[in-house]
Amino acid sequence: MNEDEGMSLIVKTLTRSLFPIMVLFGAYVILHGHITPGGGFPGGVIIATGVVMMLLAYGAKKAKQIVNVNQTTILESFGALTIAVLGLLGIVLIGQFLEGVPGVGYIGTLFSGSNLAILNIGVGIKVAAGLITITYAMLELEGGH
Amino acid sequence: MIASLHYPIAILMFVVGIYCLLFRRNLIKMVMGLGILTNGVHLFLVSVGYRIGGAAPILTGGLNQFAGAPVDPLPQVLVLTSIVIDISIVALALSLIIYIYREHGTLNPDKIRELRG
Amino acid sequence: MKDRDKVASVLVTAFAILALFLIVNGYVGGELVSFGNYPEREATSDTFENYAVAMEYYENNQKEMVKDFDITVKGIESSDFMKNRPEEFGRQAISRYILKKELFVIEGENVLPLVLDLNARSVSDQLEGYFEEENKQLEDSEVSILEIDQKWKIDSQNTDYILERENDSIKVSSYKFAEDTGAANSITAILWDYRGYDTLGEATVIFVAVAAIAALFRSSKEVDDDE
Repeated sequence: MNEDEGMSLIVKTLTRSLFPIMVLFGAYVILHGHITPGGGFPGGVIIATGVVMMLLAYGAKKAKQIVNVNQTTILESFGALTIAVLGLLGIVLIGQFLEGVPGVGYIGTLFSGSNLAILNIGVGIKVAAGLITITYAMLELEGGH
Repeated sequence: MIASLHYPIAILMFVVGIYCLLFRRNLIKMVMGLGILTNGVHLFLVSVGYRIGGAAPILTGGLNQFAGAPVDPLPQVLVLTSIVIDISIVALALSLIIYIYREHGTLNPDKIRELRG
Repeated sequence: MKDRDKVASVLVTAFAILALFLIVNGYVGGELVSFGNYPEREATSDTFENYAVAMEYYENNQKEMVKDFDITVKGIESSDFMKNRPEEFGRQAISRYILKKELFVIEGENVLPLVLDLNARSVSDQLEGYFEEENKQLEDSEVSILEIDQKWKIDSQNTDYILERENDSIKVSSYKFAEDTGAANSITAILWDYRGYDTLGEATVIFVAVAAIAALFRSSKEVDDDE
């Protein structure tokens, strides 16, 4: 690992071990959006913060190899398409936009709520990918192999 | 002392934001004033929905005080949407500032006089 | 001074005076600063036959009405406007409609044994019978005591029920948002179920912002024309 770019060795080691914990915490906040406070939007921001933390610690040259900007733009559109497709499925199958079947499981567990969990996941992916795209575009890093 | 401290602080943040927007001659400081301004408005909105002895409007298993007097959840929903829109505004403004700096070489809005005759 | 500085100083002094006024008002104990702190009010005790009679009554006493616009209308078949509305409407209608909705009242001589059963945290067959009459299920439920003065909460599969005792009757209410959507978080239920269109619009805002910034910083080397 090149020690000329980025920050010192202590920061690099700590960031490398902290990054998966941040992604895990962001995924937890997204998935438990209908039980605890949070939801799709804060969870996406937490995941994006983890990636930006890696960018700060390792310098611009190595950051280009981690994230491919072309792929994140596709991921962002995928998240937006999820919401639209679920809404249209509500019209086709049930009758109203964004409507699901209520009363699937017990209240307070993970598998409750009709389609709230899937919508939260869609928005979380969209916000995370969008913020990463903004950061990499402003620094003009094309990124990726 | 004061019945509730939220409202004067929210208006104070609004005043500080407007002061930064009007009196600072640096584009980035004006954008920072924008951020403080919107956060003051969000604080005001959320404070309107407070009830005495209220609990958070989330159902948990077992004992909780939700049935007594829940706090109004509607202003919190509107603020959640407004925060995300604030992010987009600040991001777009900062990227336009990068372009302005490349063209004119200065961040002072008084010296950028391309539109004047 | 230039004109812009004059306008700016006038605006800043106006807002500073407004902030000072609010602080002083709160110190003296005025109502302006604490207007968000009133406890949740109950509906007035007037019950009217239909919507027209209610409006007539409140038009005659218009001066008192502006501040306490909470009326209870018996039955909801008075007009088409009221058909899909909750039974109570007023300034806090939306939150109260979603958060707590009264279902039915249990009266009669069987109230005391029911109270003893609920205090012992068990759901008796009588209680299930009352619920079945109104087409609600009580399978696998648990009872928890909310406060000391006779309030109970039943955790059942689809929603939670709150029972309150008033002298000789028990009032049963439930959470409407839990029944409609199945979410335990009322704010997520409002964001995605009752106000789903607003969230869709906000997702569009994020998409447009990201697309604009990605388009601004595209280098000119990427656009190459094929021969």
